[in-house]
Amino acid sequence: MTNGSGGRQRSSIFGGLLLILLGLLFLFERFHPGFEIGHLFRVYWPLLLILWGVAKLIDYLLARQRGDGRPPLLSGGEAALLVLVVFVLIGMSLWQWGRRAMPNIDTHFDFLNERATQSRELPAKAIAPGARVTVTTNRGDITIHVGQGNDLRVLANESASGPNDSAAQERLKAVDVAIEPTSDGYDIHPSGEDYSNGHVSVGLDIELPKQTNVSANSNHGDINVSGVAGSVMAEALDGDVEIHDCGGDVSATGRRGDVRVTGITGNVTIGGSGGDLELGDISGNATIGGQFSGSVRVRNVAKLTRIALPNAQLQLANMTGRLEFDSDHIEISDVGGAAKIETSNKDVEAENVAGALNIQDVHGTVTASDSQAPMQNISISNVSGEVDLTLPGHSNFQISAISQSGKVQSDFEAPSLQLDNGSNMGRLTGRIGTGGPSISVTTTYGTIYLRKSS
Amino acid sequence: MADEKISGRTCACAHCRVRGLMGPIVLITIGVIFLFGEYTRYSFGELWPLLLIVPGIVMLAQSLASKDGHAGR
Repeated sequence: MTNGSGGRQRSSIFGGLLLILLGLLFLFERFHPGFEIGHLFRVYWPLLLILWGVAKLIDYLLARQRGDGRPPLLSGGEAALLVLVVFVLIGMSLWQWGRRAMPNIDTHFDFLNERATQSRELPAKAIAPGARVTVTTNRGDITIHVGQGNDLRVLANESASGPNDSAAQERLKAVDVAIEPTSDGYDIHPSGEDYSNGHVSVGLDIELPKQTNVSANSNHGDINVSGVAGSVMAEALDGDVEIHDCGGDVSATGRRGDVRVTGITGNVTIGGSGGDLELGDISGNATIGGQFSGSVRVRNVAKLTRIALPNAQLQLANMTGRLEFDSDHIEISDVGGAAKIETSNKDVEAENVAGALNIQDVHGTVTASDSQAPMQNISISNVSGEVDLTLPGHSNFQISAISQSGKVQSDFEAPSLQLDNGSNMGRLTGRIGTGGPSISVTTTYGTIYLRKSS
Repeated sequence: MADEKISGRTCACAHCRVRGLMGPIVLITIGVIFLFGEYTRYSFGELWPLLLIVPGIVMLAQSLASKDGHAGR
């Protein structure tokens, strides 16, 4: 920002614009908990370069219009600002990572404060079978489990903070928990003090009869539901969700924490944008949507597993094995029915798919293997990547494998098989054994390997 | 950055006047945020990005402000 020989030189508008943009993003993130700046930055960082360029262009035009000296491409102050921004973004990613690694740490600003706590049991309420219980907390964990009796019991773990002990006690005294009857059950939520400013947290431990429908919502806190035979709905904006051994349909949404759902008799629907996701032993369908940025693990889903995430669509029928999914790789094994995978920039590995197998990938390596001779069609298409397909030696099938600008290699040999590795295309076509299901493999710029397993 | 101030004398051009506002405005913003934390449901933890936005606006105003009559070198 020094005056060069050009005389009146002004500072660039880039620094100011960058600060405003960052501030708006962070502010937006505070009020939309699903929104993650780390993720946004990873995907859209080139826009920062564009902003830089546009700002410099405006600088240039302004300078020309007013006859001022032109600001340098990157002044010392701007360089310092950029370094600061990079440090802040790295810090943000570490912080988000740390919250995932240690989810129980309270990140609320609570320094220099005294804290007062108390636990009390609220009077039990009679509840009819099939009733719906809705639980809402702003700050505090929700635990819902099944008891022996036929009534609803609520244990409230209340905690309040204040600048000194008496202020904390005062806030604690104002806290209450309301159990309001509704047309079909009860509505349970903290009341009294305006608990939304973070000074007060109310954890709810709820015991209820097995035949109850449950819905639980927390803004900051974990949700744990177990043993319920009715339907379960759970949504945590900032906390983990765990649901296990439930008889009805389950719907779980995690905005920032992890979601874990196991041992469910009904259908499971998962949404949100949380961290890691784990599903297991589900007798119905499992449907996963939203924008999970962590890893996804699914095992043993009796009916259909459907995953629709940005960058990956999967449909797997009767998966007795497992599915593992992270930012650069998808692995499935032991699927009883058909499997369909559509993705890009991920390596795909499919093992023992009994039904029809359909894989579409871009910029990834596709590996498929089967310990049984294929009975259904296999279709694999890739762009800029290898395809590696391994089948038992006694298999019978029709093959058509084409690699644009690549080669095809085959362990299988048969009189009708034609292998042609030309200069700009590799092609393998023909029949193995008695023919049968059709196998079609295409890719560009990658080798197709057709291997024989022993 | 020290060249806009010459031996304790502040330059009176628009650029340097806006620049002089930065310190007070940042202090006021911090005060207002803490006050909000005490009396409304918005805490410092939620409003701190204002500490980026407000200086950003001042910087933008500063770089757009005219340097006519700048008393620097």
